[in-house]
Amino acid sequence: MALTSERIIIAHSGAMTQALVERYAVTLRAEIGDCAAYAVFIEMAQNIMKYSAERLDDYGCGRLSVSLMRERCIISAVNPVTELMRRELDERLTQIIPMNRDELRRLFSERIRTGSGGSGGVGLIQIAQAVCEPLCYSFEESGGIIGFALSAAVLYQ
Amino acid sequence: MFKLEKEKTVSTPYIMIDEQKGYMTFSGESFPENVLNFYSDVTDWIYKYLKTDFSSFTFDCRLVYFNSSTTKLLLNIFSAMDDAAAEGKRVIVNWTCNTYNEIIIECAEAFAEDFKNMKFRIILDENMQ
Repeated sequence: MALTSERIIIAHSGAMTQALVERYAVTLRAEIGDCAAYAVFIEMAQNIMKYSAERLDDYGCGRLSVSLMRERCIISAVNPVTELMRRELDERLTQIIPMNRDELRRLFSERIRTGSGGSGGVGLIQIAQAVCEPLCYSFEESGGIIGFALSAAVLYQ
Repeated sequence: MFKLEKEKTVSTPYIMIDEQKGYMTFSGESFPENVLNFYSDVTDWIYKYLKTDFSSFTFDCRLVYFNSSTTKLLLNIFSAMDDAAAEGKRVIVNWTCNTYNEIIIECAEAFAEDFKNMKFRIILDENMQ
């Protein structure tokens, strides 16, 4: 696809603070309005902030971008994770990705009722509910660091 | 009688509680850095209040976005409200969602299915912002 068809709205690299999440949220609201991509972005930004294995002044570090490509809004995140987090994320995403809307809804109800999986687990289900094509994820290991990459495509009117 | 009013910010909702009227409302967005800290004065009050012999309690929820940590907090509040309703107390949730916000609607429907003792109304409003 030609680069000119993609419009980058946010490109972040480094520590994700709450102040930055809020600043990006204001930018995104102005750009895309009340689109499901907004919810996906905040969830992914706060996942980096809270759970990234690389920390700076208690804030997680990672990369996060939002771009518009034709009718889709693409939100992509990369951040270091621990081996334990890799196993948990892999297990959750393997379960969630093939699920249809009804299955995701049932799982969401079950998770909020039982409280299992923590808010991060519920957040991944909510991200999966918003996407228009299956979530893409991968783990890449380099120099003893595990990088977790997650990409979500959401329909943008 | 407890009264609380907090102005909304980019990441936190407008909150108003009037114990005398048995009323609480949240409106706006909710993704604070620390949900438990932000809502501590609300939760400190509501869990005690729901155990009192109140006549009626209404919660108007008009959140246009909330993160997963807020979802967990709402779940805990609804659970306590539903327990109070199970004891015969009158408890009502009016949850207003934008007609086009499917994520919020699905979340509200999941809550409504799980908490059957209290009256849980979902109101769709296409002009809600």
